[in-house]
Amino acid sequence: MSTLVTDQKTEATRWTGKNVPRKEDERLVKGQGRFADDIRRHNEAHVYLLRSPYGHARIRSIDVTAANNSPGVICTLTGEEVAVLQKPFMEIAPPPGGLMEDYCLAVGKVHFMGEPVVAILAETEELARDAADLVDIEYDPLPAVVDGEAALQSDAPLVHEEAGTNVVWHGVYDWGDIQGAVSRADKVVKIDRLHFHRFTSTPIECNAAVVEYYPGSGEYTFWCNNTMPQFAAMFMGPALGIPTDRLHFVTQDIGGSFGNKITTYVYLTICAILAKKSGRPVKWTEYRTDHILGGSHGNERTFRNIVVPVMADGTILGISATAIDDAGAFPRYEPLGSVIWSQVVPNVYRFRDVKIDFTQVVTNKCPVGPNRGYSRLQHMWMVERIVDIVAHELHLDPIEVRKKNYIQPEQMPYETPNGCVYDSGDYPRCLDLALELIDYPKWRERQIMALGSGKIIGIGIGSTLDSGTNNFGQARIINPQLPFSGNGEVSNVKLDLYGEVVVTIGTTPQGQGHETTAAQVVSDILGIDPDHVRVLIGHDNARNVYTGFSGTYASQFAVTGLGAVQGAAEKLRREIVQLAAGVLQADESEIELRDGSAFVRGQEQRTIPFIGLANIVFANNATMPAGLDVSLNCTYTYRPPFSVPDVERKFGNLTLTYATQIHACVLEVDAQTGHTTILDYAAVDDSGRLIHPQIVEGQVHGAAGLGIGGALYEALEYDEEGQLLTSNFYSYKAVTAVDVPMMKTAAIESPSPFSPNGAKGMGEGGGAPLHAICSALQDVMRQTSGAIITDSFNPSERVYWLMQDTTKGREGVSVEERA
Amino acid sequence: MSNIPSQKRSISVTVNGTTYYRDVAARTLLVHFLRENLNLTGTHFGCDTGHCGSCTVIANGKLIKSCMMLAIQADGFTIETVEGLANPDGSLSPIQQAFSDNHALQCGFCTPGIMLASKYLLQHNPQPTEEEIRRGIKGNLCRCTGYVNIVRAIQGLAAETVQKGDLVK
Amino acid sequence: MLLKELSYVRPNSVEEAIELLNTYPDAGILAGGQSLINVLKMRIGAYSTLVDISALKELQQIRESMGFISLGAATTYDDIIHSPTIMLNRPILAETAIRIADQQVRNRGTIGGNCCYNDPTCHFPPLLTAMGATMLIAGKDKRSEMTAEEFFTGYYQTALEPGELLVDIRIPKPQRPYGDAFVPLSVGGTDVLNAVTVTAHLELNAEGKLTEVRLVAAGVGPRPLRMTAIEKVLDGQPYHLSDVASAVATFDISALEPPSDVHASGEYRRQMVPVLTERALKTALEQVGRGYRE
Repeated sequence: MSTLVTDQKTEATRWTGKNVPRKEDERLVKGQGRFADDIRRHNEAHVYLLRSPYGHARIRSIDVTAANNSPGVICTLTGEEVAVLQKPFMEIAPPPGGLMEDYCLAVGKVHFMGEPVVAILAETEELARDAADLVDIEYDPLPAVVDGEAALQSDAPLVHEEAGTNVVWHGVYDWGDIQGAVSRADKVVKIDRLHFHRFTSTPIECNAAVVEYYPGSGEYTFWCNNTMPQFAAMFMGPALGIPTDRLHFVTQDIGGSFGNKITTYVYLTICAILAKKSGRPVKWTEYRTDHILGGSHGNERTFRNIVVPVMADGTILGISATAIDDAGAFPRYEPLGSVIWSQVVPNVYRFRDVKIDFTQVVTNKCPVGPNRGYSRLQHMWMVERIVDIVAHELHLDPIEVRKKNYIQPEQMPYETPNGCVYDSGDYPRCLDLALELIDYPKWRERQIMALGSGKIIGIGIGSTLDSGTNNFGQARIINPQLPFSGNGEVSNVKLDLYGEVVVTIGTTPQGQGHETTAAQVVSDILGIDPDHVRVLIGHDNARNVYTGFSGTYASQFAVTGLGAVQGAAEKLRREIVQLAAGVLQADESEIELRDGSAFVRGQEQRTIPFIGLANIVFANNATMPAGLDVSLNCTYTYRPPFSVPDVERKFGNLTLTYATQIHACVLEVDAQTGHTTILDYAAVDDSGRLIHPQIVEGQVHGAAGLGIGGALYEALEYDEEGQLLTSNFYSYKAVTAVDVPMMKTAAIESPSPFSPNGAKGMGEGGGAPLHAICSALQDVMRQTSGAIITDSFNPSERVYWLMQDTTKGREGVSVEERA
Repeated sequence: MSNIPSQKRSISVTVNGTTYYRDVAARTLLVHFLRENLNLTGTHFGCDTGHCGSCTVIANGKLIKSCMMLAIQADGFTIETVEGLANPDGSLSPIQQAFSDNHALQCGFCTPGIMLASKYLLQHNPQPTEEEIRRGIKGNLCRCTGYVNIVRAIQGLAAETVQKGDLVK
Repeated sequence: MLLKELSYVRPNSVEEAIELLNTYPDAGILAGGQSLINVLKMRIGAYSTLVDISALKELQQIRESMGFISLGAATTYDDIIHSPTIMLNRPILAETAIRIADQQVRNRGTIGGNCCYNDPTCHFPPLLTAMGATMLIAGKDKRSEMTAEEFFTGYYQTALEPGELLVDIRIPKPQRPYGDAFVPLSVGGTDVLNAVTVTAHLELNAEGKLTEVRLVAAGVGPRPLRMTAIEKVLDGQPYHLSDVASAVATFDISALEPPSDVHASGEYRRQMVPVLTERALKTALEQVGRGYRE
């Protein structure tokens, strides 16, 4: 592990840890950002994708004759051609999921509403769209399966006949001794069903790309906003039958992703085929309805038969449950979600005995993909619901139950039942701070004062972790054949010809401020102002450095990205010092770097600026001091210290850092309508050492905003035939400024002992608002019907019905007293 | 005579002080006209139903969504887009500076529209309450910031306006 | 997002607009466009010609007369919100308009467009019905008028005939103390989508008794629904009515057949009608009470 090297700088003079102005901002506030749809290529043509209106149907025939003859149309593409031009995309899962065939356009049948069926390429976007109206497709509708549990029934329609089942992956996770825990418990709380709903982050920039094919080299260039290009390449190369190094990805500014732009390789493949077929650069512009219908949804998960052995004082001994995860029509990034949740098996709690029977299925719905808090938030939501339900059923204070069960700071680093190592943290202190921020005693008083007023106040807590820097070895728990493990990011830091400091990284930032924080790190190491560090953002695998893991996802930049930048900057610093020592005829230990120059310590006149050093290496190397071998061009790959997990036991350290977020929510429910208003909200985070506190706080705000939307307003709802009922922003009610409260935040810093800079990855937030809002609504139900909150989505109507019903709402929850 | 329906027309539109003469198809939305015909790509679009507000511009002094208006309707209009916000010397205007200072933007995609909505709000209500600010930007979705720092930026501008006179002209 | 090919024309007068509508039978009227442009983007119910009336000043006048105020059909929501005439005479129009969508939509969307679109979530159809408004319609060589109640005929349907244009909306200025209330139940967030609304209007006669009571529920059926059972109970009652709830209870919600959709179930909508009605009545009664004391 490397440590930060600086020139006797005190904390006060360091750039890291400060809110330096973001380097990204100037171009963005001037409207000079370069987003994917802003890119134009000479002679480009435009693609329009005609999508399935059915959830599940056989394609009897497609007639594109009239479309091909329509004005401005260059060519069309159908599944029939695709089946010849493309091999099915690789699947991560072993059989049966691995047998499911996935093409870029529907082949033979449509599997979900919004699946692309025909691509039309024309001179303009409008002409392509016009021609789509002339395409004649005959469908034979098939019965659809739109529920994860229903997909497991023996008579369920098969989404993929070739797999012979709707199961993508099944596995049993069994750690500790759940039976033993049940035998020694005072009580056993049983919950029949909890349901985590389907929603998504809808980055305001939809997907877009311009794709160009060069016959001379066989290379395809993708100017796009995909956020994990080498993952895309891994799927696309074999599918197109070409070496992956012919796939050249270029990303620039990206208008949000939240994970949703990882799986766009399907669309990029359509564009690639069309680009080669037509000989024209192909521009694809996705609009919101396309994005919601056929982009990337968050995982929907149903938990059944939950058994929770507890002691009378509220100590939770363990959890056993069956989880059914609905992946939508194609696995794509899945079934990684079937293991990723196990990074946070006990959430923030001490229980050791856990058994989860996990099945992932396909349904006739849009494929899922990573979505902020991916796969962990579903699991941690279940754990938080369990904690609240246990408190409710045992008539205990849910805050006390949390405190009693939290892993304590002195237990850090803490190994979880499945071998993950929580690096650092102080959960009780975060909770206390959150309660302080909302003035908890005041709200408990007001809650009593409000009784009988028609407004019911509820107070709830969401405790969550943001596990960052994956060990990709966990993929082997899904499929032992996969040649993946560890993680890593690479950076190049160099002096350019005239002494400019230039940094490249393989990441694909979407607002996380990589240019700024990378510059802060480099500035501290090279002794220059961040304004004098140029950071070239975006992935460009023809020109920039990258690794197989490069991208921006899964809360890892502060560790992997900045770890790489730090390593490369330190290498460059060593070279600069060596060269300067040679030139200035001093000992290396005497050289210090300041304001873009090297000095001999204490002798201001013995100095050489970076431009002078660069000149020697790049344009004047006959003057290079003898025996020196420096390039001033330094690349470093940061590799976190991981080993391959034990696949049999499903055991190992799956992530490097664990940031904490504890949220407290106070809300008010209108007793007559169920309408919910948030009255106060606090978010306390512990992201280890902060590189740029303002950026970290911004991530906390953003994750909280999306979580509040998901908890109260946003749901992707399908009818029985697989019709998506919320396919645009009219029906998918993305939360507005009016409904997000002015949340209060506080941060504590428990440095990670494992990361190169003490920072922890953060940014996903772990879905804390969903936990906190459900918890507060449970507190409302305590004062009304006693109903149990069993769903993560609680719009006014659901809250209304729960308050009406003093019996139904309790169905499925019981407490068994043990002798 | 204008009373014959036509599929195409020559229009003149003044955007950020420059008058453009262009032929447009009747079906072209103003947002596409700005982006494709005038290459003013700072005006974005993030939906197809007039909900996200990324395409917000100020047209004849009114805050509008440029995806909810035909370009042909803008004949003779004066339009301000994000590209017109900065000071003539290229330095940031108070709104742009406030957004940057308060970290009111992350990915920056919704930012052009939200800054124009903020400007319009402060022009019409220089001392808005928090609720008025939130209602003033209700037509602009942001998925990165939870709106917190956007509201703070506007609150800061309102406070500064009191101290320094009219910042938002 | 990509519209079908269409033709566009901007008439210089109402007469010219009507002439165009009659010359091009598949022409549609483009006013603020805040609903129509979305419909065109989705390529449903496309018109081949758009007659743009948004620039017709004669349709944007807010005038005050002896017994009423009149609003040109192309008056924007924002103009309604900022009109002193409306603030003085029927502030409920502004208080309702400010709940519509957002600033951008309010700057272009028009009261006439809201009425002619007549989506069950629209604000003005129930409000104008409760206010007893009159709709003035211009057709080829004729002008006609009808009550708002007659105008709104069904889901997205109005009594407007092809070739006709809604030109003016006349809203009575009550000559007695009165109360107006508009109570929406928005789902999906604050003022996002009205699942149900209840609008109340009532006046006090010289004896201090309620009269001209009109209660309108929307979102529970194809058109704004007058709840005449409750109106009848209230008519002639003293304004300091204490038992609003039992008056509301006279309305048989089981007879309602509200639609179920992704926004709300029919049953929830049904249950919300008495809740909102009671709130609307209380607000209107408080208002009329204040007016009476003055």
